[in-house]
Amino acid sequence: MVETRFERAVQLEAGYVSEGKEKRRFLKARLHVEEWTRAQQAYRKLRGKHVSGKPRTATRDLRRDSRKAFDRSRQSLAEASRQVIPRGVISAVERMIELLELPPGWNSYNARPITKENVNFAFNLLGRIMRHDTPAPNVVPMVRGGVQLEWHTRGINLEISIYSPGEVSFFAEDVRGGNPTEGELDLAALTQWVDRLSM
Amino acid sequence: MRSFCLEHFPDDPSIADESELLRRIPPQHFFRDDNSGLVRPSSAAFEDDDDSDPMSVYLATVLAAERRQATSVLAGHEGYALASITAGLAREKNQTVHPDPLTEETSHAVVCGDKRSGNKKSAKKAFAMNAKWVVRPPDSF
Repeated sequence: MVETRFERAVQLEAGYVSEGKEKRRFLKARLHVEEWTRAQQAYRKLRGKHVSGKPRTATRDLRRDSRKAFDRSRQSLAEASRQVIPRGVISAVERMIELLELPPGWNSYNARPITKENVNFAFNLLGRIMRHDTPAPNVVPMVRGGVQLEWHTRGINLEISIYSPGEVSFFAEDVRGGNPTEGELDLAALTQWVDRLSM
Repeated sequence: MRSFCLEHFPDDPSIADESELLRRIPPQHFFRDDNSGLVRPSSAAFEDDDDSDPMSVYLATVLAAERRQATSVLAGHEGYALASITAGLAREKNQTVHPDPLTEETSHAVVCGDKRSGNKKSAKKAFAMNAKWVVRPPDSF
């Protein structure tokens, strides 16, 4: 899952996800998949016997269990894919590291240097909302030391402005129609918008 | 914020709504928008430097009166682009447009007001969406 030494270093430095945690998440996901496969097999077996006279309720119960197991496996796989650092986050982090080197007045006016606190916050936020198939955001420095994360792709405009860890706002709109959404940090809403612009 | 601007940087009605306000855009603040296929400035390019230090712009009318090219405000800033918004758009977003000539740049003015929040779109977002390029970003971008 982790491909380069740099990615591992970023993970360890941020304390974002340990190797053990990562392994446990995937084992859990695999267990759910196995549970689903077993339920499916049992259902198919009994369905075959049903023709030769097994009660209908038993097959119905098994079918229901199979569906539940499938839902669980799907959920835990989605969660696991969200938990391991996606590629887009890595390239965003590389960009943020560059931004940390901007000198005062970098915009030719009176811009301040970008702060580590804002970069750390942005990194953690991206780790929580991005999936493996989410494109990397444009990482834009802000004049008062903040960071803005922007996606303008797949018909979605999404901007997250991190003025400071305590002052974060976002703007989102579907360019094909609908009212734009603008407000303070809302993880649930952000995750939905990020899902829409992921593959 | 509004009262601060009215007190310290009051709007100058002699600047017509159609007047162009020019803003230098650093290379970190433009990008290709995949939705429109165009290179455009980020909304982060239209923010105040500080609460008491409103966004700087250059008045195209003053540059024209002095028979100077708009590009003159980019002197010494390689790789930068130059975008324009209208004074009318700034006022529509509850901003004041105040001339603030500097010894080194007579066309200097400031746009004062809250740029982060708005009823439908914040001022910084509206500026980024409606800005026109006077000097486009370098071709290599």
